[in-house]
Amino acid sequence: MSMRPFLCLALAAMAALGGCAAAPRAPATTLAEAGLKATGSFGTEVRNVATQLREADAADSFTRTWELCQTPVAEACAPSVTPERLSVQRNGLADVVDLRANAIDQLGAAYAAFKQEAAYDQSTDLQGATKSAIDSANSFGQAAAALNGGKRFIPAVPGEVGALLDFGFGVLGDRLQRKRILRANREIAQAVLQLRNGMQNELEVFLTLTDYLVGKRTAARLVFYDAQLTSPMEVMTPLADQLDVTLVPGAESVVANSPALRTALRATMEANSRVEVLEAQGRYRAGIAGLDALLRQHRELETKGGVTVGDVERIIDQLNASLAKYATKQGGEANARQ
Amino acid sequence: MPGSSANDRLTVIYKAYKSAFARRAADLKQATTSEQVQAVMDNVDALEGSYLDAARKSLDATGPDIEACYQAALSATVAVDKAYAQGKALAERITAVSAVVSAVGSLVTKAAGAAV
Repeated sequence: MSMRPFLCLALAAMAALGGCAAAPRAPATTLAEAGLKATGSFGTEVRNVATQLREADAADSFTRTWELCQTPVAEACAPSVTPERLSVQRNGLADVVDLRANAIDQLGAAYAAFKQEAAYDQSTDLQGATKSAIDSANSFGQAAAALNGGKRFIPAVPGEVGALLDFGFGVLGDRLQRKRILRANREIAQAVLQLRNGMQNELEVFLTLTDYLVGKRTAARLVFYDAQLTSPMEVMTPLADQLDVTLVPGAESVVANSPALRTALRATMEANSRVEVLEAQGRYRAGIAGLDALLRQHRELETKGGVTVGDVERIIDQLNASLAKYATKQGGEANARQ
Repeated sequence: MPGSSANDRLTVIYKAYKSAFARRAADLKQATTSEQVQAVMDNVDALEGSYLDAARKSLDATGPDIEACYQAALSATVAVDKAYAQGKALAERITAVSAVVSAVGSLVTKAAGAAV
């Protein structure tokens, strides 16, 4: 038996070891930055939902009382606050949604520590941060399981993501930092996977929740509009911009004196609310897609020592653009209220 | 025929609430007695409560009785849509929505199974 094959294998292994021994600090930094962006955007989106659930009572009570005062039954017109039972149920849901947001925040903290480790070539509290991220993702997973009748939810994991479940560590270099980075890479990836599965598990619930919340807000906005407490130009001007037409001076009074135009603008408001629902649902889906993209890059870092975060960046930029639009809308409404 | 999924059940419950909520303002304008006003409000509140319950519990229990509940909820919502499409009187519409409230309530209770 010849020794030649063994010799070749040994040489190849040494070459591979030498090529991989350096800590992948630059790609780890890039990945950590992408993770920070992704978790920041998604966390904001999810926390918005919890906040809206907690704040729904005021607009809801306003709408139901207005509607009661439109009946021909005179005694029906009295303040009608959202029943306490519904309020308690909404707050309970908000607590669950907050749990998701907290898990995303913890994951963001893990990425921050990962970035620090990669950037400064010194010991950081990386282990504590990744443990915290995994604990948080686990507690979210348990909460998701509780929503699922106490049963663990095992969703279909996309092929590329599923490959993470068995990605091997291969040959580790001798350098301590490289070990730390690769270990953290795997641990953070596990937390991302757990979080991603939980969010996917509850996708349908979230899709109906966004529709529910937008429905509540739209109902209240329509009351403001019907009661002529808001200017029709808030709807008319963006519509004119969208159609690339210039409104005549005094358009507001034209609208005010035309029941047909007021009704048409009401229809536009309802159509806009559909867009608002689709945007909110798109942000949630983009958040999950962002986690999927991060998982792919964790695998790349593990197997190739490099990452290309272009797809993560693209998804997160879309999510951020949508969030910025949402924030502008919210700010506009807040200003209009003042 | 495959049975309904948890998402199918959530969807039928949410749509039942959403439709009732969207119709509430017009229904109230047609109410002629305090009892009718109260019934319209109670129906919408009950459907909203069922939806919020459903959103917290995964409705994935299985069994013929649960499938029967799901089909009953579907049929009841179809009957409501028909009553509105045919311009039935408010009293009849309230009765039809009340049937949805019962059907959806049973669906949530049974399909949630051992959910906490």
